[in-house]
Formats: sequence, C-alpha cells, structure tokens
Amino acid sequence: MKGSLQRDIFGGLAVVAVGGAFALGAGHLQIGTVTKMGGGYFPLGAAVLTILFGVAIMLRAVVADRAARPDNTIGGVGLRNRVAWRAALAILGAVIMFAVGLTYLGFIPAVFACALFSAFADKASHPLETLVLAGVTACGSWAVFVYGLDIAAPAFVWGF
Amino acid sequence: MGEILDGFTVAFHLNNIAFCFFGVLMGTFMGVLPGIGSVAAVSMLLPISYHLDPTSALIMLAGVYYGSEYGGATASILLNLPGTPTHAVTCLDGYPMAKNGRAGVALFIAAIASFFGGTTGILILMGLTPAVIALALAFGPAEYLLVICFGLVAAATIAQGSPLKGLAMVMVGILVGLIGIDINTGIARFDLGFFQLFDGVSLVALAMGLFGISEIIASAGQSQGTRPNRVTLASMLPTREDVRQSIMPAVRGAAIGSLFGPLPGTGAAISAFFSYAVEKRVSRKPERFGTGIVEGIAGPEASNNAATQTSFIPTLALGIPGTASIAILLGALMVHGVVPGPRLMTEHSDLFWAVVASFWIGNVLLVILNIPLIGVWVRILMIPRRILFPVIMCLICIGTFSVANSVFDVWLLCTIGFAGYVMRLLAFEPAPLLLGFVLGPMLEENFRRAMLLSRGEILPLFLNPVGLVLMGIAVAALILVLVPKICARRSAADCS
Repeated sequence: MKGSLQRDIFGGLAVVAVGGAFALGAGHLQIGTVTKMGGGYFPLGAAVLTILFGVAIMLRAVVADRAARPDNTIGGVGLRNRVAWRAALAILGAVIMFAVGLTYLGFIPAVFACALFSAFADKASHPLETLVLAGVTACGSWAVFVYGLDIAAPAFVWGF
Repeated sequence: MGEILDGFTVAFHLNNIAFCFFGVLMGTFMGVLPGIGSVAAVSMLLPISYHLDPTSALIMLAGVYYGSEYGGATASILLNLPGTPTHAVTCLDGYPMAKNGRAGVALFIAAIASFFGGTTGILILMGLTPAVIALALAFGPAEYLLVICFGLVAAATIAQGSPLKGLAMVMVGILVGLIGIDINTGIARFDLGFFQLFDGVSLVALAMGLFGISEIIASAGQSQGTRPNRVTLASMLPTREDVRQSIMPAVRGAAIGSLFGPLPGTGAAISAFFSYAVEKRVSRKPERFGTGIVEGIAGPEASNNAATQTSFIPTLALGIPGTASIAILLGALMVHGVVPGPRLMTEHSDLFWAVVASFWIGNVLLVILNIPLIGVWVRILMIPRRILFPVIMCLICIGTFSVANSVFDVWLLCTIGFAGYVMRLLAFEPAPLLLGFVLGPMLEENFRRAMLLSRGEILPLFLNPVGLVLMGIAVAALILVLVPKICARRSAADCS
C-alpha cells in the first residue's frame, strides 16, 4: 500500500506544481473582471482549480492509505522497481539524438542515430543487426520523406 | 438525398478511394502493432494529410482512425496485448480462444461483428447528424460551454483510470492549451520567451509524446512476451453454432456502441466494457465468459466500431471531439481552414457527405482487407520488437519535425515524452489531457462570451435547458456505467 501512497503524493504534488507555475505566470497578465476578462483571468482560474485537484489527489491518497493500513501490510511495489530505466534513456536519448543530428549533421545521420539509440532499449539487440537496421532506416526514410514527400531537411550538413 | 449521392460520387473518385484505402491499411497496421494506439496512428499520418485537400485529408485520417480501432482486436486475440485501449475487453475471451486453437474464428467473428457495428453506426450517423445540427444551430456560447464541460468531465471520470486524476489531467491539458498568443488580447501567454510557442504547443508533438513515446518506453521495457502462431485462412471459418451465438451479442453491442458513441468524452472504450458486462448478464451460462466464447468477442467488437462511427456525430455536428483521436482529426481540419461546427454541414456539405460516404467504403474495405490479410498481420506481429521499435521511433521523430519543419518541436517531443512516461508511472491517464488541450481554447472563448452575455451571472448557466438535459444524461450514464465497470475492471485485471 505504501508504494501507491508515495506514488499518489508525488502525483498530486506534480499537479500542484504545474498549477502553481501557471498561476505565477498568470500574475504577469492582466486579470480584469468577469465581464471584461483580461488575458490572465481564465488561466488564473484554471491554475487555481488545478492546484485544488492536486491537493485533493494527495488528500485522497492519505485517506485511502489510513483506511487500508490495518489489513494491508504487504509493501506496495515501489516506484523505482517499475521504472524501465534502460528503455526510457534509450528512447528519450533517441529523440535527443534526432534533434541534435538534424541541427548539426543532417537528416540521414539524424535518423541513423535515432534508430541506433532506440535499439538500445531492447536488451536482445545485436550490434551488427542494429547497425544494418539503422542504415536501412536512414536511407529509406530519406527516400520516402525528403525525396518523395519534399520535407525540407538537408541530407548531410556540417553545422558546427 | 441528392447530397448523399453527390457525396458518394466524390468519395468514389479514384484518388479518394486510394486515400481511404491507404488510411484504412495504415490504420489497421498500426492498430495491430501493440504500443501504437489509434491516437498515435492518427498523429503519425497527420503530417501527410497537410499536403492534401481537406476532403481527402479527412477521408484518410478517418480511415486511419477506425482502421486502427479495427486492427487493435488482432493483437488482443493473438497476444493478449490490446492494440488499442478499447480492445482490452477483447483479450478476455479472444486470447483464451486463441489458446484453444480457435484464433482464426475469433479474428473472423471480430471482423464481421466490427463491420456490422460500423454499418449500424454509420446509419445512425447519417440519420442523427442533421437533427443534432438543427439543434446545435440554436446553441449559444452558454450551451457550448456546458457541452464542452460535460465532455471533459465525462472523459475524465467515465473512462479509464481514477476520476480525480482524470479531472486533474483535463485541467493540466487546458493550461497547456493556453500556451501561445491569446486571440482576444493579442498577448503571448506562457511562452517562456520562445517565439516558436506563439502558435501554441504542437498537437502532434503532444500526442506523440504522451501516447507514442511513453507507450513505447513501457513496452520496450518489458520482455518480448508470447509470439503468435500461424493462422490459416481455412481455420478462420466459424461453425454454424458460432454464427448463431454471435448474432444477438453483435446486435446488442451495436446498440450500446451507438448509444455511448455520440456522448462526447465517453466513446468506444466504455461501450466495449459495457457490452461485455451486458452479455455476461444476459447469457444463460455466464460462467463460460473468460474461457473463450464468441459472445465475448462479438458484442464488444460490434459496440466498439459502432461507437467509433457515431463518435463523429458531436464532432461533425458541434465541432466538439469525443475522443483524443478525433480531437487530432479536428486539429487537422482547422489547419485546412475548415471550421468544424454546425455550419460545417451547410458551408461544406460536399465535404461532410463525402466523408460519410467514405465511412461506408472504409468499412467495406476493412472487411475485405482483414480477412485475407490476417496472415500478414500475424507475420508482422512476429517481427521482434527490437527491429520494429527503432523504425517506429524514427517515424515519430520525422513526423513531429515535418509538421512545421521545426527542430524545436522535436525538443518539445522529447520533453513531453519524458513527462508522458512520468505520468504513466504515476498512474495518470493521458487522454483527458489531450482533450483538455484541444478543448481548452474553445472553453475559454465560450466562457468569455457567455459571461459577457449574462453580464457576469453564473446562475443562468445552471438553469439552462441544455445544461439540465446534459446533467440528466451524465447522471444516467454514471449510474449505468459505474456498476458494470467495477465488475468488468475486476475481470479485466486478469487480462492486463
């Protein structure tokens, strides 16, 4: 049970944080009145509501945990165990590689790097197979998207 | 009547049929792949649609949408992995049927039931939409405000996940939707100094980040799982008994789907759960459910497709999307300069009827495609994920970039993908966020106008007839849905 309490407190806090950030941002804008709304009226209202929901989530988690504790002493699965670290790093890294590659190296290297990094997500990937796959994907995507669909991206660039 | 025929004429143009076919094929393909739901499928093909004219674009994207809803059944039956969230229920009896060696029959019944459900849905769409539009023309900002709120609350609370968290997600979505230049005041809001955010967060980046990337991270993190066995064409033919047992569930399923589909925010997922629960309750031998019987597939699949088709009613008539995938479709329409809403049918009646006609064509294509191509889909499911996922990731990145030729959008994709995965870990559903994002600006606009008209009084909103009707529907839906949903969730927990 404890795992889910932790998770929901985090979750509620995250929601409160998002709401708070937008509320702060709305402070720079004109609020106005109900009939003559400024740019900040609706955002502020929405942000406040968001914060309230975040608090409600946290409260509910605490209440649910208090209610369940007498019976349920089995420890919940902690957040750490269920996070797919390798997959997350590989996939997000792949997107980053694509962005960086596109800016500094061109379309084909970007796709190549993206495919390469994504393959790391799976433990069963073989290096040679991955290289071939990345190469084929890079050239294939160039053919379909840049050559075929006229997407404006140079194939190779030296953008440093 | 003449307009319907005109619509068919346009829909039968060779290139529109080609786009319909392409959309349905790609949609089914992506629906078959576990890890890509219909939202991701529609977002991935969205950039391509920008190059087409509005009619063809909508025909193609709609094809992707209901194609992916169709294809999701395949992975559910063969791999016990729902290809789209709405197919979680199909796992319950589909997978046991596959284990009993009756995968072919399960797939066939799913295809036919889906076709039946889809056809029913289209008929209702054709009949009801003009009526809803007539009603909607009398709508003012207060009525729109109420309908949008209803849709958002329904999406947050009735569908999957914790209602409270769903509502929080809707609010976050609305906030994210506010990023950009405010039309009314001309000031840029929440842009953090990035000029690229003046037009708001990219819809494709948001959709792909929330749904595609987080789903792929989660799937890639798990071990490969079971591989499907080969399915031959001959093994697909059902026995007479199977057919007899499937008829009534399919009819009931189509009715349920047509009922839930038009309600903005509810949609296909809940109707599938509901249909399964109804079948279990109506059956003379409810204990057989879960062991692999056709009633458990025919009902949910029919209701799924009926709901998918009828969910276009609020979209086309009111301009209010019922599900996240349709929200993206609407986004595509707006990019083409076609403003969805009650005037769509009068101003763009050719578009409207051509699209509806294409639904017919699409449904037929789906049946024709899926029965012979079943072997192909099974082969594709056998491709190891380590090969499939890198290709999909590249497509996602390229697609996101290509919308505005902007590397900024790719960075957005990365950030949103990270946030999406964190959300998933914290058990937050992404669909309400996307709906809040798309509907947020509409909500603000109508709220502003409504307050202007009522001079700041909020009370008239609650006494509004439309509001009262919607409240009535909401309460009835909640009652009808919560009870069987709790039962279905308990049994669905064994599936996932």
